[in-house]
Amino acid sequence: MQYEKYSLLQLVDMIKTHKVTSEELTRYFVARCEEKKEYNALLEIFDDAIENAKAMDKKISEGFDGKLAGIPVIIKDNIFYEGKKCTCSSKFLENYVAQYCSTVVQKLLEAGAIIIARANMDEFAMGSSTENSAFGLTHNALDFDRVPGGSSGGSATSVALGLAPLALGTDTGGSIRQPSAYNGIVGIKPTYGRVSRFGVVAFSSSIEQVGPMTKTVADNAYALEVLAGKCTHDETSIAAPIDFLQNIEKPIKSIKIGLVNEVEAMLCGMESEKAYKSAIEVLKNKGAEFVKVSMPSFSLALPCYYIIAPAEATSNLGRFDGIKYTKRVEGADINETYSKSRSAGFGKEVKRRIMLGNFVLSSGFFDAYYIKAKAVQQALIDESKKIFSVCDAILLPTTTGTAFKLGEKKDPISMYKEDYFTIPANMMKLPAISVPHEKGENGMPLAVQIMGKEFDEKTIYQIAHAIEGGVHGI
Amino acid sequence: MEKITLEEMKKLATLSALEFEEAELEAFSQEFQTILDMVDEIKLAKTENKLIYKSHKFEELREDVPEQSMPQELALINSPKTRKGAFAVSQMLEED
Repeated sequence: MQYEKYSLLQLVDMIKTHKVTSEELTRYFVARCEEKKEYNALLEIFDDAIENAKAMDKKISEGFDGKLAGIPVIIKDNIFYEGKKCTCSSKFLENYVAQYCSTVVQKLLEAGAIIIARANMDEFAMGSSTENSAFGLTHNALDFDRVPGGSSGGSATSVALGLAPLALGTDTGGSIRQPSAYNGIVGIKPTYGRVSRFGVVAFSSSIEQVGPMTKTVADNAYALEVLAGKCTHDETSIAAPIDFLQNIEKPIKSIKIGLVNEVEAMLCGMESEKAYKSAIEVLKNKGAEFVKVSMPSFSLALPCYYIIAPAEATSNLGRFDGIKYTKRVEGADINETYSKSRSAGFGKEVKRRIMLGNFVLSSGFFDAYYIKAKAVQQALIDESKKIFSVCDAILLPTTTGTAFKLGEKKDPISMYKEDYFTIPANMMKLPAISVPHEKGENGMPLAVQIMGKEFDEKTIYQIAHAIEGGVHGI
Repeated sequence: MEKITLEEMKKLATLSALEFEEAELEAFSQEFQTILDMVDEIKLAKTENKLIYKSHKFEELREDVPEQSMPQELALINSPKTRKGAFAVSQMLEED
């Protein structure tokens, strides 16, 4: 049986109807993880996975019917799983062991999931290609010479290779959606506050979210139902209806979808234009209505992000001092110990963002950069509210084109521009899903993105489901 | 944005508790300049330069109930150096 050919929902059903045991499924996917090691999608395959699956089979036989009972899952390596290493793909945390479970892992375990591995990523989630990992780059599942995207590149490659039917990623500026697009899978950045961030290593706390990465839209909605919810350990998490599958099969007739003028002007001639135009046709044929809308600040989301995210990162990464955890390099005094430890531990991109964060927060530049960026963020939020008063969702491309070649983007700016279409959702705190649609001339997947109203994941899942039917991993 | 000087970069590195070789910092400065030129686009925004701080909407805060804290031994497992149940650091104060 080739279990990687099945969707998450199909596997859930197969376990429920006793067509397969969790042990069989886990052994199968663990063996697949071992077979596909050359992709370097995973940093560790957990040696207790099979034992946990056996214990889960016993629970299932006693009547346990959790939503993910017996299902193998992979987590990004910035998410705490008690007793397991969590390195954020950084030398600094090479031997760090999580002392407790993150809320998302706790929810997975309570739903009966078997966590089988932790996935590679850009160091501290800073990057768009998974080339910034201290433990080697990850390859795209569909073309070994191309990047998987990032920062959740390991998770995306894992799902596309069929190493597990579900992986968790985190998305601060596109880190779930862009790698999902590059690997031909589905990924969502939920509304800010939808999923608890407790036990997830912080990068830019005011904009990042955990989200599921799967082969199908329905799988994704099902998995988000497990992860979502108010958490007493994260006061930014919010209780809102968890109803993601409610409308998924319903026709999209008369749903109003916004097309952003500024995005269409930018997209002209880009590789992703094909997917965008084709998605419009598909949705139009299914009865959706389109509304031309304007978001004058759209192009400012990118510089806005590169002020706010590094400002928060420099503060969040201040805790990495070589004392309480992480590697220590002793200096002549405590300050030298801090700087020597940090210099040896952090990689280049992380250092760059720490410096940038300190620059925009420094007294001479604080008003011109940080305060201005916060004002632009508010302008973006106001513009989105205006748009959502006349439509139900916004259609966007996910990326400018298909996955680029490993080593192709050498300067930071061209890498940063990778997230041009994904960053706005983070800045506006809105949910956005990437769904594969069409292929580029090189045969690699393209994708489109649907951005929704705050806490209206239900509608974007419905629209994404209507678009689905293009490329689906391998 | 005026060109950032090497001296400013050195100051920034100190503030960031990061060390660089001189040549490394020079190369880094050039990249840093291109990033600053990119983020400078923000200045084109026609927004007022004041902080409109609308915080995330907080729901009701949870009850403040004391709970068991993390055991000391567990809290120390990731520290590179411990002594007598505490994080060990080099001496910071002069002896009398």
